[in-house]
Amino acid sequence: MKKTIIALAYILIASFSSPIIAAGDAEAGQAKTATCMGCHGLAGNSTIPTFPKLAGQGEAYLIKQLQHFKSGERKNAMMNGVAGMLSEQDMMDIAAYYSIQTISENSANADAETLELGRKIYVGGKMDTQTTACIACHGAKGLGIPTAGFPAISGQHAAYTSFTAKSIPSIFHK
Amino acid sequence: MQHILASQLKAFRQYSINEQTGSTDVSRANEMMVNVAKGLTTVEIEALSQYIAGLH
Repeated sequence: MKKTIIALAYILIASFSSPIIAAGDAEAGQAKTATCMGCHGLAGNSTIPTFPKLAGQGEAYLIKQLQHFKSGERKNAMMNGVAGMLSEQDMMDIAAYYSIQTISENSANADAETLELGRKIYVGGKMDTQTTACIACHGAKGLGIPTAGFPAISGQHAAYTSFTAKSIPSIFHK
Repeated sequence: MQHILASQLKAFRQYSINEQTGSTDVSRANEMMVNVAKGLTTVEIEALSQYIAGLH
């Protein structure tokens, strides 16, 4: 219960926080994505499961991640190098472009039992470990809360989502 | 085309290295996500990831 209240407070505060004011030009952004395309695919639909799809991702979230890559706050050798060459305007343009693309659908790759387990956790969290439901921040359809900077996750490659969750330091690397 | 493939190969190698060495993405370690992930087993994370992949 306490964690649920904290989660709701977190969402509320984030919702009222000033989002990054994006003033990107999607057309200009498209022209700047030639390098991105190598890993993130055409129109941000990566075909390699370990690389995230960017299509349809929230503009503010994308800008924030690029800023973090550039500053080194978020670490990835490839992305630190790529983002390091981008100006703030480049970031806004690229984010504007990807945010209006449509994410591709994935072919089913799991049995019904596995999907049901995933659905239960997504919608209801876990009572025994007091794990907050994903739906609280990412929404019923996994579209996130763009104004709060919470990312869209629906349609993302399972391998990428899984890797990201597992890479959270406090679980596996402390 | 060749430079795109080379780029993909480089990124894939980096991903593999990160996975093998346990390199982490510090900006993902926000309090909310740490609490969520802490309560999940590897099997549950895999199941959740599969569910999210099919969510539209």
